[in-house]
Amino acid sequence: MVFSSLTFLYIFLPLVLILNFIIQNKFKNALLLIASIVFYAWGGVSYTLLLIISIVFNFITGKLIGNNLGTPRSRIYLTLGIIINLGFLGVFKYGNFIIQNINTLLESTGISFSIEDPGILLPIGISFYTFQALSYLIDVFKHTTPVQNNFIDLALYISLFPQLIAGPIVRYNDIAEQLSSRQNNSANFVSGIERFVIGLGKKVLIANQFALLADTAFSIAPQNLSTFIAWAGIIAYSLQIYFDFSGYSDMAIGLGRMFGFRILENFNFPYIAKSIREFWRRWHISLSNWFRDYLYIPLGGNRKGNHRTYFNLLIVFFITGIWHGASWNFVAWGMLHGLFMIIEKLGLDKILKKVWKPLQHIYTLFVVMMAWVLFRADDFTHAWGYYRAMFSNQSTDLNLDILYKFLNNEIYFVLIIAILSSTRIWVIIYNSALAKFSNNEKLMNFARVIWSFLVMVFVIGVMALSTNYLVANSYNPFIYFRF
Amino acid sequence: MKRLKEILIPITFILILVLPTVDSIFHFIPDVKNTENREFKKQPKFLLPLHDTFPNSYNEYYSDNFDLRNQFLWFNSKLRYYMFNIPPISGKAIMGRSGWMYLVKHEMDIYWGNNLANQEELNRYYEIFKYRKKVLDSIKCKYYIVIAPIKTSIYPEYLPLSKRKNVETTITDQIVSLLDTVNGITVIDLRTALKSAKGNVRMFHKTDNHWNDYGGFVAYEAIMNTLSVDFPELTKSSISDYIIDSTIVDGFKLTNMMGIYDGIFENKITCKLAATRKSKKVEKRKYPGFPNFSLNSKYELRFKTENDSLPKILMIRDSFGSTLIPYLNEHFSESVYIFDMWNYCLNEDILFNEKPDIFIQTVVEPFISNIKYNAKNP
Repeated sequence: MVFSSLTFLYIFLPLVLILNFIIQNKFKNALLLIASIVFYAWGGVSYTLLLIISIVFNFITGKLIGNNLGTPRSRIYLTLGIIINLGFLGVFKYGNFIIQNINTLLESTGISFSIEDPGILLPIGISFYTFQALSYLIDVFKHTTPVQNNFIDLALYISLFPQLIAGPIVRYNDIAEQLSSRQNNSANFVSGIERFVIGLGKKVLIANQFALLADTAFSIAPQNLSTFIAWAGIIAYSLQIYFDFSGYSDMAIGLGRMFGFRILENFNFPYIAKSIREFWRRWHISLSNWFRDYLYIPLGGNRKGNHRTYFNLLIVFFITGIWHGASWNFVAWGMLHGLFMIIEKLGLDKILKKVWKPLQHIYTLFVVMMAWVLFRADDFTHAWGYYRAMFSNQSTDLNLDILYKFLNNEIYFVLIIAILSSTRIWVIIYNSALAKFSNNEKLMNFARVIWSFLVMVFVIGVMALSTNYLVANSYNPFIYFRF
Repeated sequence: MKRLKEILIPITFILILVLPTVDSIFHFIPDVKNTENREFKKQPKFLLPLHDTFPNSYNEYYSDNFDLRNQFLWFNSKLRYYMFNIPPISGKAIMGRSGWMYLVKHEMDIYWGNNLANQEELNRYYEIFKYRKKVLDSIKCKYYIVIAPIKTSIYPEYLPLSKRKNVETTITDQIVSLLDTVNGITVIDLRTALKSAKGNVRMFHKTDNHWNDYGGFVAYEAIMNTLSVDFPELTKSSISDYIIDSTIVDGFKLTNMMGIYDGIFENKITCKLAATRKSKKVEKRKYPGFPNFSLNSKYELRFKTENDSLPKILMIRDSFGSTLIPYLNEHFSESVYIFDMWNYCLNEDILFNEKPDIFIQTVVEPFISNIKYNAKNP
C-alpha cells in the first residue's frame, strides 16, 4: 500500500488511528503489527510470507546471539544471521542480475552455455527490512541493546508500516525502548499530522508533477531529445526524487509520531549542500549512518591511512549503489559519488571553501544532477545518449509537443515552491517570526492562535489538494519502492 | 492556546479522513454531475488464486467509486483553469489567448510542419489524382479539390507564444504544389481566401476547431468564384443576403475535451439567409455508407432547386463541408453530399450513378494524408 493512495488515506489510516485510540496500551503493538502485515500484503500478498520468515528467523537468531553473548558461538550466530539475511537479499534482489552477468561473461568467453533467467520478482522494501534486521542482530551482538524476548515487539520493529517499505532505516538501538513504552500524547499526534501532511503535499503536489516531465524526457530516444527538454528532464527528476523520497520520509516520521514513535530524520535540505561530502550528510541520512556504523567503521574508516580511507569509501559507495538496484547504472552512480568524495578529500574541498559560495552550490548540484542521469537512465547507452543531448545543442523544435504539454503555469508555480522548499527559507521565516514575537507575551499568544488556524487551513488545504490530484491523476509512482 | 491547537488539528484531520466514508452513508454533501464517459471498475472478489492482484483491483475500484470523486473532479477543473489557465485534461487541446482554444490531435502536427510527405508518397498522390482526373474526364465532370484550413493556419496569433512556430512547408503546401502539376484539376486553397478576409468578423469558433457560419460563407464565396470561371451560368449570393447574428452559448467541444464543463461561453456567429430558400431537401438514394460510422445518417444528403438548367454537384465532404451545404445548395439544380468517413475516395459507384457536372472533394488539412489508393474504392 502506498501512503499517497485513496485506500490508505481514507480507509486504512482512519481505521488504524481510531482503533489505536480506543484499545488498551498493552494491545497497541499487536494492533500495529497486524496493520503492518496488512499494509505490506497490500503491495504483494505472496511477499508477506518472506517478511514473516525474515521476522521469525531474526527473532530466533537474535535470541541465540543474546543467549551466547561473550562466547565464540554468538559470533557464529551473528555471521550466520548476516549471511542468511544477505543471502535472502542476494537471491531476491540480485538473483536475476547475477545470472545475467554470468551469462554475459560466458558468452564473451565463447562458452555456449547459459543459465536460464530465473525471473525472480523483487519483494517490496526487502532492502529496508533486511538492513533493519541486520541492525538488530549487530546491536545485540555488540551489547548496544538487550535481546528482544517479545516476538510481537521484534516483529513490529522489522515490519512497522510507516517505514517498512521505503525507510527511513530505523536502527534497533534507536527504537528499542519505544517498542515497550512510548508517548501517545496529543502534542506528538499534532506534530505527526503536520509532518504527515507536509510529506503528502511534497509527494502528491510536487514530486508527481515533476515525475511526468522527467519520465517523458527519459522515455524519448536521446537522438530525438532537444537539449532544453534534456535539461528540463534532469532538473525535474532531481526535484522529483528529492520531494518523492523526502516526502515519503516525512510521512513515515509523521505516522510514527501519531502512533507514539520518534523516527529519526532522513533528510536535511540536501540540495543546499556545498560539497558532495556535505550532500551525503544531508541525503538519506539513515542509510548513510547505517553504512557508516555497520560497514565503513568496521572496515577501518579513516583510521588506517589515506589510501585505505579512499578504498573504504569506494567500497561503501559501490555497495550504496548496488543497494539501490541490481544494475551497473546504480553502481556507476554510487562510484561517481565515491569518486568525488575522494577528490574532495584529496584537496578539492580546500579549494571549494575559498571560492564564492554560489559556485560551491553550483558544483555540488551539477555533480549530483549528472549522477542522477546514471541513476534514472535505463542503461549506460541511454545515459551516454542523454549526456550528449544535454551538451550538444539539439534543437528545441524536436520536442515542441512536450514543451506544450508540460511547460505551463502550473509547473512554473510548482517549480518556484519546490526550489524554495529545497532551501531553509520557510524555517528561517518561521524562526524569525517567532523571535520577533517572543518578547511580547500578548503578541505571542495572539500569534499562536493565528498559527493554529494557519496550520488547520494548511492541513485542510493540502489534504484537499492532494486528494484532488489523486482523484484527477492516476499517475502516482513512488521511486524508492523498488529498493 | 497550545491546547487549542492540540484539539483543533486532530479533530480536523480525523474529520477529513472519515468524511468520504460518512458521506457515502448519509449523502449530505451535494453531488456534482458525473462527467466521465467510461465504465467504472466493479468491486473485486477476493479469490485465493488471484490474491496478488486483489489489492490493485481494489485500489482501482475504490478510486473509481470514491465518494467525493465528482466533486473533486469539478474542483480540479476549476482550479487548473482559473488558477493556472491550463486545461484540466492536458494534451487534447491548447488554451490560447483571449479565449481561443486549439485542437491538438492531427492539427498541431500540421501547423508545426510534422508529417511531411516524402518523394515516394508524393509520387503516389500524383498517381491517385491523375487516375481520378481520368475517371472524371470519362464522364465529362470537372474536378475541384477544396482545401479547408485548420484554425492555426488562419489564426495562429492566438496560440500561446511557446506553441507558435514558423515553418516553411507543411504537408498542405506539398499537396497544393503537387496538384498544380496535374493538368485539369483545380485546387481551391481556402487558406488564401480566409487569411485575406480576416477582419472584424471572426471566422472560426473560439471553442471548436471548425469555422463558423461566417468562415463558411467566405469559403463558399471563394469556391463559387472559382466554379463560375468554368460555369458562367452560376451566380452567387452576397453577404448582404444574409443576416449575421451572434448569440452567447455554452463553450463547444474543445472546452469539454479540456475537462471544463461549465463557465466557458462562446459568442456564436450565425448567418441566416434573409430570403426564402430556393433549395429543398429531397429523398436520399440510400447509399449504404459505413455501418460503424457514427454520422452514417449524414452520409448522404441531397437537395434540389427548381432550375434544372443549372449544373449538378457531387461533393465528397467532411465536417467542414457541413457549413458550406446551406450556401451551395441554392445555386445548383441538384446537390449531393457524401460524408465518406474521412476516406476522401472517388466513390466511383456513386459518381457513375449521379453523373454530376461538378465533383468537389473537400479535404481538411490534417486528413490530406488519408487520400490513399483504395482498390475497392479508388
